[in-house]
Amino acid sequence: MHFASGIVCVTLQDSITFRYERVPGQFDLERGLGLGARSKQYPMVQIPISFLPAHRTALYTYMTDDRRLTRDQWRMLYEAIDILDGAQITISGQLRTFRQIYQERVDQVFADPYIAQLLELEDVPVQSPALTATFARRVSAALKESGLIHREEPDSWMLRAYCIYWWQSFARDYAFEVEILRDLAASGLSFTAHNVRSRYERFSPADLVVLDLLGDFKTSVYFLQTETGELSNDFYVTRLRGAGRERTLVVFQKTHAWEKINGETVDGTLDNVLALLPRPVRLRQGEHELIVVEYETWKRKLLHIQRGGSNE
Amino acid sequence: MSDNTPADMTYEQFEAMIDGYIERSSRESGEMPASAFFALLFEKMAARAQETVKVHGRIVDGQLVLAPLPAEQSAVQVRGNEILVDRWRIVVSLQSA
Repeated sequence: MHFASGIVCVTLQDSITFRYERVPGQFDLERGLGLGARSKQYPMVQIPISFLPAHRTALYTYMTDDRRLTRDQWRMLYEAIDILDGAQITISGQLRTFRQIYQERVDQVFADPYIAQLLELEDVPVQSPALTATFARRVSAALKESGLIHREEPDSWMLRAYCIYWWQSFARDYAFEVEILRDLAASGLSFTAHNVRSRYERFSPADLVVLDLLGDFKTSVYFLQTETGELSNDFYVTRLRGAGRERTLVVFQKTHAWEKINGETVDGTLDNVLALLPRPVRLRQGEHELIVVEYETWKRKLLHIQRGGSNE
Repeated sequence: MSDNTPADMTYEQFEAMIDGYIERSSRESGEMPASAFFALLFEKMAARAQETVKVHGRIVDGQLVLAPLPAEQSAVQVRGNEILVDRWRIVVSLQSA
């Protein structure tokens, strides 16, 4: 389309790219739109057009007060982050996705030192919040100093929100994992766990093996952000809010995994599952079924079997 | 954060939001409500099951050649030994046993 005395081409792909060409000797389009100075000084950020205002609202609401999120807004939050994975930023002529920026400037820089310090803590539930906050402030400061975020470019703010979201999800998730691994070890349960110090092993689908069952530890937010719906493991340990409690440790598992442990169940619904605990709850939706039990119940049953007891 | 909508947010408000999020999320577990968690999980499981696409392949002159998919599965494209899904390009290579 023609714009003033210049030519502006709009290319619709996964995101919108504005390209313009000057017509010599006519109206100064760069100065008129203020684009010249910005394109010279600032990295260009491209947010996919599928990122709607409702996605931004869900992300900001989550960051402000996650208790205000409706179920639909939780869905929008995960969609928002999925979309921002593919947002792009051009730095010195090189195109990088937000995901790449996070991997290169946050994960590869901060993850190993964080895990190392986390493993040195004596009391993870008590001491990890301060460590998490310290590292999050470092990540935030590094992003501010990176030259990638500019106050006049609101789209670039999204890169900071995106990276902080992922970092806090990661940091809290591993604090949770270390807490559970130590608790399982202290209980005397026999299991094989991946090495969280190893970057390679951190990407393994299963965190531990017990009774030949593959399991994973995830905070609820990190779990849904990373889960594809395949549920490649047999069981998952997570924390949930509800039934008047800030957090309840639960294990949800596939039917065959529960059969190995065994026990009576009651049928539950999405809205009463936590209220029915400590009785093991059977949840059904369409063709899919999960058994939800309290973590302590699950651990006690595993120990009973490993010590030669029956699973009846 | 003020009551401003995200579109109206100033840089200072954004900064305050990020700082507040860091402090709060470091201190609190911030877990999901169980009902929303399982609702979204079952949605993902159901969506996964509905999106099963079978791809048939054959070996031609030692190379893997995948058969084109019916038009109704246009969200997935197959070309030679490549499968294109959304922004993913999956390249399948053969290895000798």
